[in-house]
Parts: sequence; C-alpha cells; structure tokens
Amino acid sequence: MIFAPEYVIFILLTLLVLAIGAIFIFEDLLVMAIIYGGYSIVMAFVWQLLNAPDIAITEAAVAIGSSVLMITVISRVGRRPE
Amino acid sequence: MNDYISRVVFRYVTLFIIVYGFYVILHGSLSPGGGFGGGTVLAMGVLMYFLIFGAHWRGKLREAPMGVGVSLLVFGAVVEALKFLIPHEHGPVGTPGTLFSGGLVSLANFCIGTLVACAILSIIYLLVKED
Repeated sequence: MIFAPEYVIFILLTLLVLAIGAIFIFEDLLVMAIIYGGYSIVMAFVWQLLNAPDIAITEAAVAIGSSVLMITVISRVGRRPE
Repeated sequence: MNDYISRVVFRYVTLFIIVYGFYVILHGSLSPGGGFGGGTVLAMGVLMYFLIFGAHWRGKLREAPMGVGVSLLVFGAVVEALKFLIPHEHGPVGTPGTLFSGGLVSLANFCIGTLVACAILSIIYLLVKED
C-alpha cells in the first residue's frame, strides 16, 4: 500500500499525455525510442500508485527489453524514416 | 558490442537481474509478481547478456529455448487435462507465510516462469536469425 498525495498521479498522467504529444513533434526514431522508454517507466509508477505492483514489475521489464530491441533495430536501419 | 564500459558493468549486473527474476518467480505465491513478471525479468537478464557478450554462444543454444518452451507447454496441457480426471489435490503445504507453503503452486509458478522466459528468448532468436 503506497500512501502518496493525490496530485502525484495527476502529474504522472500529465507526463503520459506529454509523451503522446511528443509523437507529433519529433521525427528522429532514436528520440522516439527514448520517449517510449520514459513513457513505460512513468506507466510503471502509475501502476505502482494504483496498487498493482506485479503489473509494475512486468511493465518495467518489458519496457527495458523492447527499448533495447528498438535501439538495436534503429542502429541497423538508420535514424531517419523515409 | 565492443563497448568496454558496458562489458565491465553488465558482467556483474546480469547476475543480479537473473537472481531477482528467480526471486520474483519463487515468491510468486507470497508477494506480487509470479510466473509472468519473473519470467520477463529473467528473459531480459539473459537478453542483456546476449546483446553484450552474445555472439559466441548463440550458435549452440539457439534451438534450446523453443524446445524447452514447447515441452513445458505440452506438460502444462497434460496437467490441466489430468486436473479434470483425478480428485483435486494441492500437494504438501507448509506453514503459511514461508517460502514453499503453496504446495504445487510453487512448482506451477516455476514452470510458468521458465516457459515465459523461453518464449521471449525464442522470439528474440527468431528476430536475430537474419544476420
């Protein structure tokens, strides 16, 4: 049970909305992968604040793995989309 | 990957990631986590090792995770079928609160964690098979 103030989850949800809005600003694929990693970590904190710690563990692990795989693919393909 | 810093750091960090994965799997009946979360943590630890040190052992062990995963899937299907045929039995249970107090649930969590880790590693091996 996590006792956090009410406004913490609103700050985290605002960060999620900013991460969604960053899709329309940047065109670099590496920046998009890093934003995806930050989005997943914020989402893990949100799950933890909503008292679902197992989902938080799974979210963090999958976020690390998929971010590393995305960066690996981007290093092969190139940073600029056609 | 020929980065010296990541080689030195992940030589020690990978062990902690794998031990944490087994911790989450084995405490699945007591604390948050369980088979799926622990399995993904375990697979990510092995993935880190594979990405940093990887190229020299992926030839020998490439087919192993898919074989183990399919075997555990068939084993789970047989056990789920047997649950309807024999009377329901939980196995030996210990005192509540200790580690192996769940009876067969601990064994089921261990098998599910191994299955999830092998499935994720199989997908990664299929993805990197091209080069």
